[in-house]
Amino acid sequence: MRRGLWEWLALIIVLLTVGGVLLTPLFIPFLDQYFIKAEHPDAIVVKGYVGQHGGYEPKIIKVRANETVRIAFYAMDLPQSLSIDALNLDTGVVVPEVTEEKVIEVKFTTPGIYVFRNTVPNGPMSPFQIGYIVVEGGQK
Amino acid sequence: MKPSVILLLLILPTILLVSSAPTLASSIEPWLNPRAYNISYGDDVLVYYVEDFQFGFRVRAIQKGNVEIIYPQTEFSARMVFQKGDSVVFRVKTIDVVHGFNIFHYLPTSEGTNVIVPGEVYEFGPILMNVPGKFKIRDPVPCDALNPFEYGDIVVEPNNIYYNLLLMTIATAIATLLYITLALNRTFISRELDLLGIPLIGGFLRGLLKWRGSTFLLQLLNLAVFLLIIIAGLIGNPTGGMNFSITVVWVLWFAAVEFMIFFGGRVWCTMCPMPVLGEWIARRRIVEVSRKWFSLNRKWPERLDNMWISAMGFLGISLFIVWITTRPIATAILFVFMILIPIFLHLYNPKRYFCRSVCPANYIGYHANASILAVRAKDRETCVRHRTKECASGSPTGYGCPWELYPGGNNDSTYCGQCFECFRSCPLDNMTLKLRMPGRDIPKVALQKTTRKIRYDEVWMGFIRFSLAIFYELIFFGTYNKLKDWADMNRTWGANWASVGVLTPTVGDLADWFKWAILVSGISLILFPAIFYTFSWAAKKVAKSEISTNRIFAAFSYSLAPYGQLLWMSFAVALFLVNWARPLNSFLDPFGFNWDVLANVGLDKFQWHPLFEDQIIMLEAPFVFAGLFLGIITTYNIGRELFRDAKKALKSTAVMTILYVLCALIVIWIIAG
Ligand code: SF4
Ligand code: SF4
Repeated sequence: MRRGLWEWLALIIVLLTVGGVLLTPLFIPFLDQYFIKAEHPDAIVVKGYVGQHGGYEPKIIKVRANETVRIAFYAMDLPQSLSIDALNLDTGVVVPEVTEEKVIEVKFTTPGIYVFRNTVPNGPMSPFQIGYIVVEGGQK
Repeated sequence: MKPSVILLLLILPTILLVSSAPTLASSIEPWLNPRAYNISYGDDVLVYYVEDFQFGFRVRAIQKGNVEIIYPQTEFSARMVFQKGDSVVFRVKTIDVVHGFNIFHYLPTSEGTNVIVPGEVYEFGPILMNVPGKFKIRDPVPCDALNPFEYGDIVVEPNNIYYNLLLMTIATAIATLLYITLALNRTFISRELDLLGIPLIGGFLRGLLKWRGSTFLLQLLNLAVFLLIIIAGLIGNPTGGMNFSITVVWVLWFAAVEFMIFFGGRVWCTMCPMPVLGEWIARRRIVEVSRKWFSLNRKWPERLDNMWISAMGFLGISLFIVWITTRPIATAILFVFMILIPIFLHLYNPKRYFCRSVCPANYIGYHANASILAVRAKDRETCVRHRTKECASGSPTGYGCPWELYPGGNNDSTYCGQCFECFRSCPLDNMTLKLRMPGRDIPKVALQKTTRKIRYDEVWMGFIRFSLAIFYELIFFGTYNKLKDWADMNRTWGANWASVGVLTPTVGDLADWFKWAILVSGISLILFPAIFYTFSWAAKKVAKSEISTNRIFAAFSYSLAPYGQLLWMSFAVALFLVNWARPLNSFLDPFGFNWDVLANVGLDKFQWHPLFEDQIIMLEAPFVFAGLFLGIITTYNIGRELFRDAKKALKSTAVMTILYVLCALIVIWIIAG
């Protein structure tokens, strides 16, 4: 029995739906940037996952010396913070679903590698939740 | 000095030290010392020192006025009892991570989330406990995987709502028995309405159901959601409450299905995406009707043509329910199997044997006879006279019943998947949807299924579902933190595919889980059936019947179909009212990546807070009463079929009612006591 028009149409719709949903992961980085960046287009978005994904995403941020940059910090799973000891800067506790993301401004004068970390105790993985800011010297 | 004396001198202080350790620890912890605060409360103010920790709350000390301090032993459960008019201050401290502290009605989330950060002691109050009743303490801050289960209880006495509900439970039972006694020879709940016979609406509905595209579109929509659930579970936020896979399945779907069963029978199965890929492959078609199978088309083994696998599957899932409802990866893996298994089974046999015998959600079928909706023949005589019986054998417009029933003669909704193929294949348009009183066909079905061979598979599905309805209420909303901790294998983190390793349990964790598994399986598989058996035996004795206890036991167990269903609906009400915001937020942010896909049109995410938090108990209780009522009526109707004697039926029903009332009282105690 040959397939009729409706059957072909249904097959195409099914393939498009299944394919479309299964291919979603490919578009996530784009969608992620689009939906998150929309709130703070001029900021570097940092997401915190306590004890997972290496703690922060991205784990390494590159900035230039003497440049002021804004970091928008999102707590993704548990309450947490982003703290830069070298600048004595701390977002304070950011609670998912409760507090909004925190935006901080940072400016490094000396090139080097600086650590940022979570100062909120939230389980055994807390001490491992660190990221790095690589400050490059010279002009742009 | 003798060595034994030296040993004794060494051991004795150690024993003394160890035995006094808890008291010492309590009294010396500075935050429990009222003098440390330098605040003076009146003599009639109660100060509760509450520890917030992963999995719950614990009262460490109670201060009366400024002096007297009591150190209660409340390791296992978080429950605080006050008298109406008490003035209470809560001093709250977290001993591990960041938590929250809110109390339904008294410190509602709608007035702000009270965040508790480690290292600080937070004070709330004095709060005047002026409204009696039971109120939940809740941590609304996502603090660990088990956060959705983190509750404490506050009871303000006189808890008259609770006492009234207890009385109403007993009154419901007595009134139902009286109602039966006064109309002893009446057959209850027998009316039916042909839904498709209603002018205009009926015709429209029939057209819709006969259109093959209607089921296809529903299945397609759910298939897309289903695949999204799997993907979100694999790569989305590891915290369950922020992941589509958890919130949509275990809040929205779980609650909705319980209502669907009552109002629509197996209507979920009409649109269920799990078996459709297998079915489409086996049929070689999606919407059209084909005569050739892409399947071995082997006979399904008779030994497996029952509900045992489904019942054990549901119990098995329930043993892991704390993981499955909090770890996205666990739900994703479960659902991958729920797509793959039907594909393989359809390649073996093209009919819906996965649904009849394997699907853990087959409990939908067990309860379907308690529904107010059923697929039935419009006129039985027409079916008897009709020779070709396309509803069973198929026609160019519709398949023969994929669930292997003879639709024209069917009076049992258990295995009717409401696929509406019989509507499409019947050339006489003799199939219809009937609206009826819940449990109408149960007496006949119970008799059929206990006459030649007792369907113990369905009987045990009933016991599992009924006892788990009570267990779920206890686990999801109760305060038995230790039990939750065991069920969770003491794991802290949520997990997706990348972080699945955090779920690896230690031997000790597994041992704890075994305690939980033995408790739950023991109660649902052995203890509750044993109690039910004892009551059935007593019912037989009281009714002075010759029928075997086994048969009475099995037949009466079918009354748990409506009763259990209503208990599950009561649970679903609380589940949805407390967690409604999470699934809605997941539609705006399916992966939990902090998106808001409708931000551009100004739709913000919803802040978590329970709906009708003062009324939840009163909204749950009517379902318990309705369940009790239906359970008693159905038992009586089964008894009449079984004994063929109204008086015997009444006497045995009275005995079974005692058990049903006890069960209802337990549920009322959990939700309001
Ligand atoms: S029995 Fe299970 S798989 Fe089959 S349609 Fe119903 S819920 Fe879906
Ligand atoms: S074809 Fe079978 S399963 Fe489908 S609606 Fe009819 S009786 Fe129910």
